[in-house]
Amino acid sequence: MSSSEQSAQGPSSSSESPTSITFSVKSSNDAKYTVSLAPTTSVADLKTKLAELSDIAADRQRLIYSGRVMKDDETLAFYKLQSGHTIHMVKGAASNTARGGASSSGPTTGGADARPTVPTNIAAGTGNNPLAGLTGARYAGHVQLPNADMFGPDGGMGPPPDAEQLAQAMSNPQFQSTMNDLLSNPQIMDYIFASNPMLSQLGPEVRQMMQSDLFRQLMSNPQVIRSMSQMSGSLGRGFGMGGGAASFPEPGRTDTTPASDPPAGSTSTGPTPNPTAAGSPPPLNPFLPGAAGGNPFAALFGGQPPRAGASPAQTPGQTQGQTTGQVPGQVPAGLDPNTINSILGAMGGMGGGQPSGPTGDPAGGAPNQPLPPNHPLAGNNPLAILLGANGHLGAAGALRAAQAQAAAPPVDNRPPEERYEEQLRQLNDMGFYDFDRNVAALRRSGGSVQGAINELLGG
Amino acid sequence: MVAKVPRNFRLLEELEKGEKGLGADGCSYGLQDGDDVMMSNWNATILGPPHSTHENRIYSLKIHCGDSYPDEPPVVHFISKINLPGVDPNNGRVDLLKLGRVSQWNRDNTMEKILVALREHMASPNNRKVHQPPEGTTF
Repeated sequence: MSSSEQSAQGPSSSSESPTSITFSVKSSNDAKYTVSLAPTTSVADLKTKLAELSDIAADRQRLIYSGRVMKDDETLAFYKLQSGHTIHMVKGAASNTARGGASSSGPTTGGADARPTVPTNIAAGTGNNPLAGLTGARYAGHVQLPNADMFGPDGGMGPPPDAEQLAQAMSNPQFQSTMNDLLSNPQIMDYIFASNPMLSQLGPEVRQMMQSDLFRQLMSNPQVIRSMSQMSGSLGRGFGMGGGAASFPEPGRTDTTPASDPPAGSTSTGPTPNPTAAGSPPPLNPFLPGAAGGNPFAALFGGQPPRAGASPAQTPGQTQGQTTGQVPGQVPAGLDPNTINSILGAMGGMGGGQPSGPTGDPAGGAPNQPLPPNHPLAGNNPLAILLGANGHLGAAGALRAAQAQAAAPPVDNRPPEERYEEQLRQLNDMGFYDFDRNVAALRRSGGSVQGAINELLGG
Repeated sequence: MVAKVPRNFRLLEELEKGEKGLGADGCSYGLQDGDDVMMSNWNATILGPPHSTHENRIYSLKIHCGDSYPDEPPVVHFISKINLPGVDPNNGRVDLLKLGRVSQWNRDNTMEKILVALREHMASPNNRKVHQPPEGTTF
C-alpha cells in the first residue's frame, strides 16, 4: 500500500498486490492523493485512509466517482473503480448535506443513511438563512452590530455624531455606496415605511422622494452636510444638537414614536393639523424632532431666515409654533403642507426612534433591547444614524427633491447582481469569481469593469 | 452501424475522461451501468458552486444519450431537486436551450460541457441566490 501526495496521473500498476487497484483521489483544494487498495475495501475504509493523508476527517469527506456519491458501506468494486481512475473528494460542511448527497445519488445507489457528520463550520454558506440578503457581505463592515461598548454608562446611546464626523463618514465612498444601496433597496424602504406609520400614511410620493436620486445625493453629499451644519449653526443651534441630540430620547425613554401619541400636544400650534409636531414632544425633551426639522425648512424656503436665525432667544416651543405657523403659507405649489410637516416630523421621529442603532427599536418600543446580530434591522443602521443626526437635513433634502420635481427620476432599484450583470459576467470570465468582492469593487468603481479589476487586484 | 461508431467512440472518450477525473472541477459523470455496451445512461454530479445557495450541495443528475448522440443533444434530468430556471420543476428535466453555451447544440458539445454550463448557470448572478428546496429531496 503506497500512498504519496503527487500528481501522478497515469495508471501506476501496483506491484504490492496483484489484486489491488491504484487510483487517484482529487481533493477540492487541488491536492491529489494516489492510493492503492484492494477492490474489496469499503468506502469507509478508504475515507479513513484519506483522513490520514489529507487532514479531512473521514466523516466530512464526500467522495464522488463517475457521477455518483460513494456510500460508506459499499466497496470499491461496487463502483467498478479501476486502476488509473480518479475519485473526487469534497469536504462536506453540514450533516444534512452529506445525507442529501447520499440519498440523492441515483437509482443505483438508492437511499442512504446520514453519516454522522458533525458540522464544524456552521458558517458555511448563507443558503438557508432567509436574512442573508440583509446580513450578507454587501453590508459587511457598514453595519454596526451591537458590541460591548454600545452599552456604556449612557445606556448605549453614545454621543450623536457631529457634523464633521458625519461628513467624514459620508465622504467615504464605501459608506456612500451603502447609503445609496440602503435607500434604493425597496426592502429597506418598505421596512422604514412599515416601521413608521406616519410615513406609510403619507402615501407613495414620500417614498418616491426618499428614493429619488436627488434626495440620495443630498443625503450622501458631505458638502451638503457641512453647509447644512453651518446653516443650522446660524440658526443658533449646534448641528449635533439640532437634529441629532434633539431627537435623541433620554436613556430609558421608550416612547418616542410620533404615531404613538395622539395628535393633541400643546405644541401643535400650526394652523394645519400637524400630527408630527404633536406626536413627539415629551416634556423632558425640549428639542422637538419636528421642530428640529422645521427650522431649516423654514430657512430653506427663504420665508424669514432672519427671524429663524433669531430663534436662539426663543424657547423651543415658540420656535415650533412659529415654524409650523409659517410653513403652510410658504410651501410652493405641488406639495401639500400636511405632507411636508409630516415628513419633517417623521424624519425626526425616525431619528428619535432609532437613536442607538442596533439597540433601538425603530418603532420606538424599546431602545435598550438589543437586536440579534443578524436581525434585519441592523441593516438600517447607517440610515438611522443619518436620519437621527440629520433629521432636518433629510427633511430639507426631501423638500428640495420635492421642489425640484414631484415625480422623481426612476431609481435603479435592481439588486447588484442584476444591475452589474454584464460586468459581473465579464469579471467572472476573467477569473474573478468572488461575487461579493466583485460587486463591492464594481460599486466603488461606479460600474466600470476596468476600475473594478484595479480594485480587485489592488485590494 | 456506421453511424454508431462515432457515437460510441465519442462516449468511450467521455467515459474515460469522466472516470479519470480529467474533466472540469465540480462536475463528475460516469456510466450508470458499467456493463451497458450502448453507454446510454449516465450518472452525473454537480458540486454546487461556491457563494451561492447551492454551495456545499451535491446535485445528482441522470443523462441519457440517445442513439443519435452526439448529433442530437442528450436528455438531462436533475435527480436532486433544484430550483433553477430552465429546469422543469415537475420532473427535473433540463431545457438545454436555456443554457447559454450549449443551447446551440453541435457535435463538439459533450456531457461535461453541459454540466459545466449548468454549474455556471447555477452560479450566474440571476440564479445564485434563488431559494432552494431542502437538500436530499429528489424529483
